[in-house]
Amino acid sequence: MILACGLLPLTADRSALTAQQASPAARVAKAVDPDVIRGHLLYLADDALEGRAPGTRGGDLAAKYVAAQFARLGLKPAGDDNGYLHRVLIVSLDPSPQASIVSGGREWPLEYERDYVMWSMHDDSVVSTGGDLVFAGYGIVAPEYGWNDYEGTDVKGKVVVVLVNTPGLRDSTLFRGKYLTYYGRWTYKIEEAERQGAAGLLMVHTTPTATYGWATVTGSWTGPQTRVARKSGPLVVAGWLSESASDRLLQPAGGLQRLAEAASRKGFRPVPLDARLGTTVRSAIQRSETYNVLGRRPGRGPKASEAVIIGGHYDHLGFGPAVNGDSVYNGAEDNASGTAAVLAAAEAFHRSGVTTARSIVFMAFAAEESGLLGSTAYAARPSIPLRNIAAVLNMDGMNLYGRARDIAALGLDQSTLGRAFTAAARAEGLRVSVNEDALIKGYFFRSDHFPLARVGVPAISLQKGLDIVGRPAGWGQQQEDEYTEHRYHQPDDEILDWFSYDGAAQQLRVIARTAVLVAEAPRQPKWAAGSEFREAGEARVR
Amino acid sequence: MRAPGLTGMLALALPLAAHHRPVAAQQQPAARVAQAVNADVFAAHLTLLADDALEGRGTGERGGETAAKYLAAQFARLGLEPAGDAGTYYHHIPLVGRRFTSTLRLSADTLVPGEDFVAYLAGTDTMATARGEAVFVGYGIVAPEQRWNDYAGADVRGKIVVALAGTPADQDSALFRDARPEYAFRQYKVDEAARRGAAAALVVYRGGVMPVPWPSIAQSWLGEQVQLDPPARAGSLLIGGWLNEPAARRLVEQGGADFRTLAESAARPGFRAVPLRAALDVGVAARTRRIPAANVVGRLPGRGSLAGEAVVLGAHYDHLGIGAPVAEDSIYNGAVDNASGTAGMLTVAEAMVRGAARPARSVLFVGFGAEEQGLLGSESFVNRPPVPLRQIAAMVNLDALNLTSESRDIAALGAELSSLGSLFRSAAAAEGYRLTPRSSPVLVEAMQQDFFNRSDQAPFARAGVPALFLYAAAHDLVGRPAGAGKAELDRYLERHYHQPSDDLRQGLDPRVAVRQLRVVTRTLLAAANQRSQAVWSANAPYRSAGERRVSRDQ
Repeated sequence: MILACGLLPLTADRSALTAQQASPAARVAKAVDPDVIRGHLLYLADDALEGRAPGTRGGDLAAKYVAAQFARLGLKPAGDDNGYLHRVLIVSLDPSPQASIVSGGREWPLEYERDYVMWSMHDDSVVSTGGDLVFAGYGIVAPEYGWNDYEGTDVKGKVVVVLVNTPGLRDSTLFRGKYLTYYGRWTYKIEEAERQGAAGLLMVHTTPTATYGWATVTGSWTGPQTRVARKSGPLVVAGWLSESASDRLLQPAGGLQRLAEAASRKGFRPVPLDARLGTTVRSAIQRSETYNVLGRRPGRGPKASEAVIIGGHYDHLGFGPAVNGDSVYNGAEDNASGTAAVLAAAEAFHRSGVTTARSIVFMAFAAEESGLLGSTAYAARPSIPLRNIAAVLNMDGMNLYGRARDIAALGLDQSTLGRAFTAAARAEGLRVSVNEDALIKGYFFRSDHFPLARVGVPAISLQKGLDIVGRPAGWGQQQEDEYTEHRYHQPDDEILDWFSYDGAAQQLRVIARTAVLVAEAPRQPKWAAGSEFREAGEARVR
Repeated sequence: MRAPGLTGMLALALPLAAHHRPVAAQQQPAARVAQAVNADVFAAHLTLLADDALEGRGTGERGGETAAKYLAAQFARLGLEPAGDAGTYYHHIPLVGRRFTSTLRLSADTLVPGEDFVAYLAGTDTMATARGEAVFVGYGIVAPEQRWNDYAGADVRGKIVVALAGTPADQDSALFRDARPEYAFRQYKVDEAARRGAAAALVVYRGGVMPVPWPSIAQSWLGEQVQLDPPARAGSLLIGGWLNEPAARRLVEQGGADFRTLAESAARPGFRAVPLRAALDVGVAARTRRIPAANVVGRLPGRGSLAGEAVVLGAHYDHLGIGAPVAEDSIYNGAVDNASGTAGMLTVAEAMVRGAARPARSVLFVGFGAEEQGLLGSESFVNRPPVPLRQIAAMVNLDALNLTSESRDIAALGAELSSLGSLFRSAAAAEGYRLTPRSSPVLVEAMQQDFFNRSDQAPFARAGVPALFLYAAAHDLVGRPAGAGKAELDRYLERHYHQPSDDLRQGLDPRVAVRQLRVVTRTLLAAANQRSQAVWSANAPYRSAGERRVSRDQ
């Protein structure tokens, strides 16, 4: 005992010495503790948290838990009013639209859900609009691909009709071929139509371009539509038009098939349709609020006002239809695990004592499952000026399957963050895998880093490595597939007995190292030359 | 890790160091660990536990369950070992809520429940009846040390006994001086009747004797009784209860006797039990529900030969939950009582882990449940301890911390009762505190109100485990006039105690907790590291329980 007492301080000093000689990134990585991830996960994924739905007791408990942990770690409040919480105003509209098209002096009423679905882009209970219809191809303005579907046409006050996806679908030399760019997403079509000043937008549905059938459209875009409360812009309504209704509308101009072919060729110009849309959308409106949670570990020196965000969403689906008697959608992997990792990252920085030039901001995003609402609201009303946000490192679904030989992330090809991440992975002895499926399906556009990427903040989202140590080849993929098929968004997304926290700790060490590299770098990361977010990135720092 | 063969030498060396020189090498770690007590950590836990989102942490309510889950998560985060049931952090409290409906007939006369009597089932039966001649057993006391036996010569087996509340001292102050207070209690009288083989025991409520008015007693018994699982059967005894004095009078008079004469006879030495020559017929049915409740237990393992022993740091995490609104607030947050103690317990745990404390004995961190129902979590812990009681060297309880102002003095109730007192004194001195003078108004209040028996250290002490209760009140507050400590205590007890206003808005300063928790940390480490377990003082009432505890086989 006495010997032990005598020896201990020495041992402690020696390790402190090595720690000081090690790089700051290595010191933070070393302080990552799997017990911390596990402890937070236990609480956040417990039935007591009721699935953490926004605006419910469970969601509230989770937000307060995160805030309490930030306070425990001495992080500075970085939300509203010198608190940890950043308010997210949510509006939910349940639309009942009426619409008709006047063409060649004849009016044909559209039948809701058979011919079209539509919703108000204004947070108002009744909106009406009408305007000349214009076919605008894929509705894309992409300077880096030399592409402008609105070239030479003023669509202000008009209703544009566009295809979803990109010309790359038909011609693999265009855009990124089969890899989805943001220009292909329906959200982009809406944003671009609004930028062009259009009053209405109709998206042509075909199963190949949308990658889902009309039933999915009527299933998803009818009933309450939840989004961040917004100021009204020029765009009044948006919606989908069925393939047959589209074909009928486009018939006088050559039909859907021929117009789609034309739209896939360089130099396409918008086609006026000699028809008008008239529509009224009544909506039942409900408003609610939820909170992002932010805490800052201050940087030192002149770059301290800049920040690297380490984030993950804390919300999940709450209570839902019972499956095998279980109605709590715990969201253990999605995304109690990522939230636990954000907290564990904050603890690792705290324990390491490392201070970086830029601040590190830890952030738990709200209402991701309702459509990235917390991150979208943050991008619209950031508590840190966007130009000062150097990067977002997002964690959505940690590896709970075991220590891996590899690691992955979305967005590595989009910006110089890819280099930092790859260097961090190498320092941890991990190979960086590329998930081609994620590129095809556009997963980059589906978690909370994305709304910030869209406004120009370089961003990546962590993914799992699936080459698990001590397991046969393919086992990791098999676990991933089983999760996707059986547990994803089900009450069974719970903590399983066999979960291991070493894999998550590995991932978190890489994220922590990446954060330090970025926070210490002389300059902020940059978007890649070919990235669709480069322009927004340049606009952001101007 | 340690070279074999050294162990014996170390064991020999240790007592020397411990006894003669609390050398720097040993004190420095304590200072280091104490220094790791952090105000941010305490404030964060306090703020969360006292938040309305926790809904007052009511036992059997979701708020209480959420608090338990929170504690377990914090233990897991700190890497503490689960030390509850079956490899979890949760130690089950066998809690039930029981509601009784009863009938009582006296010959042809049917008595009114709540007005004339209340009755309950003593065992786990769902229904029981007892009928027959009642026997008056005076005060129902068997106290050899008082040379008193109300059952002398009486055979009450299978009968209904009727006993007066209180003791003979109520009528003759020369009797039962310095007697054990429990002789006056209903529970004792019912237990004694059970030991004598009675089938039912009714205690006569007398207004002049009992401090609580009859309607309050009746009301509390008509409502749900939250209790630990009763024993399957308390001997042959089925039914216990209260008989209101007017009903008792009717009963006695039906048998042709005079109540007053009979009652007076009960206070005369040599009293003998009297058959009442009147038949009683009592029936009770119970509806029972299980109430989910748990203690939460995490273990910081000790090192070396004493690692199997433990010292306990406890704090109850439950409070009153949601209740009757006061000023439109229905959440009984219990910020001081006892989010503060719970936060303190978690903060000490974090300090021990982050400060790399390596105690010889293990440290058990325990969040007790169901304290507000009558120390039921700690009682069940002691009934079914995760570590044998003989291996629990000491217990320190936190139930309300001083969060008003820094003080010059500090106190632990029970310090004079065991050798833990001197460890506490050294720890307090190391943090610059004086001990609160015993004659100070705050400590006089603690004695008068018997605070030591009113929180979770009490079941430990009764089971013989040396225990301390950190006292929330101090005498001398820095920057405040003399006596401010007592004023603060009075203000809390009058305005906030068990009220919805015991919340974060009463003006609490979490930083004040830090130094108190450093004292607790040092005390615990000293108790964990000293060679022998703490012992009770010669005059401590728990001394014989302490001796039984360590002599128990296990």
